[in-house]
Amino acid sequence: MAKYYVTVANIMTQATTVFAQVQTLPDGGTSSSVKVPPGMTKISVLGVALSHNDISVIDTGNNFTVQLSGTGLVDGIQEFLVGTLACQEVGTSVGASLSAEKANYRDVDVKLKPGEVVISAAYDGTDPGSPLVVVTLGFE
Amino acid sequence: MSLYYTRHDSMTQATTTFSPIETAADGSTAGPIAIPPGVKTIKSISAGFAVNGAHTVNTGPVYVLRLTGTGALPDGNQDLVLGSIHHDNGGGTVTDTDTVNMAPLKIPVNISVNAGADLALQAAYYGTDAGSPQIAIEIEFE
Repeated sequence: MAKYYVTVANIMTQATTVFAQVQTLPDGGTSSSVKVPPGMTKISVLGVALSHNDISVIDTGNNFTVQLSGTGLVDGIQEFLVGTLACQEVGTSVGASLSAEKANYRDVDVKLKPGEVVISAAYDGTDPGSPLVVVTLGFE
Repeated sequence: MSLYYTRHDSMTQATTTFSPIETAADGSTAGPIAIPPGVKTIKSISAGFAVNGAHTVNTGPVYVLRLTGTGALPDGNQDLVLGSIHHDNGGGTVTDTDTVNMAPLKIPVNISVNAGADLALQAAYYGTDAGSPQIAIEIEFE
């Protein structure tokens, strides 16, 4: 069970299948990488929330991947499928929707050594607008 | 044996800004949680969130909880993502009514705490201001 939690986010303005760094702190600051906390030997929890933070582009469906890289990873780059967003419209109607999504927390086992962990994210499919990805890493 | 405490609050702040979650369920301003004697860890965190008013269309902020407090956390502040609610109207002028129901998010954790110190809860969100979300947190100590 993780003892130490770090959260960063990114509004994903990049094109499809392009990784961009997830580096905005919840207080608006920037953390281009996460220094492995002293005494921590693995990332044991990955928490992710996805959201459209504006108008969802209709008839798009995207899967999202979080990538961990950097000098702090014993076994090199690791990639995780973290969720899907979709928006569909039939005909020329204009509809509305209200959707709630709890963050998804999963157990992982990523071995660490002293160094840095860089968090990036990418999506497949057609550009859906500017989706928001928020990532929490739990260390132990 | 576990011990359970709750706090809630209305989030009126701007994006990527933390504000306290310090209201008790009876409406009183309870402030931080005094960590009970003998307690060593936070075992789980439960959370709920919803805009209590008109949810600004085409916004979908993602909410984050911060645990903080002087001397409360041997490993320092902890930030955890909670989730989001997105209101989409496609850019049109449609009149609609939408409802959404959500069970609390429960996150099992193992966060060390110091008994006797005050654990402060704070909330922030990424993305665009959706109105004034209500956020509620339950802390399970062990």
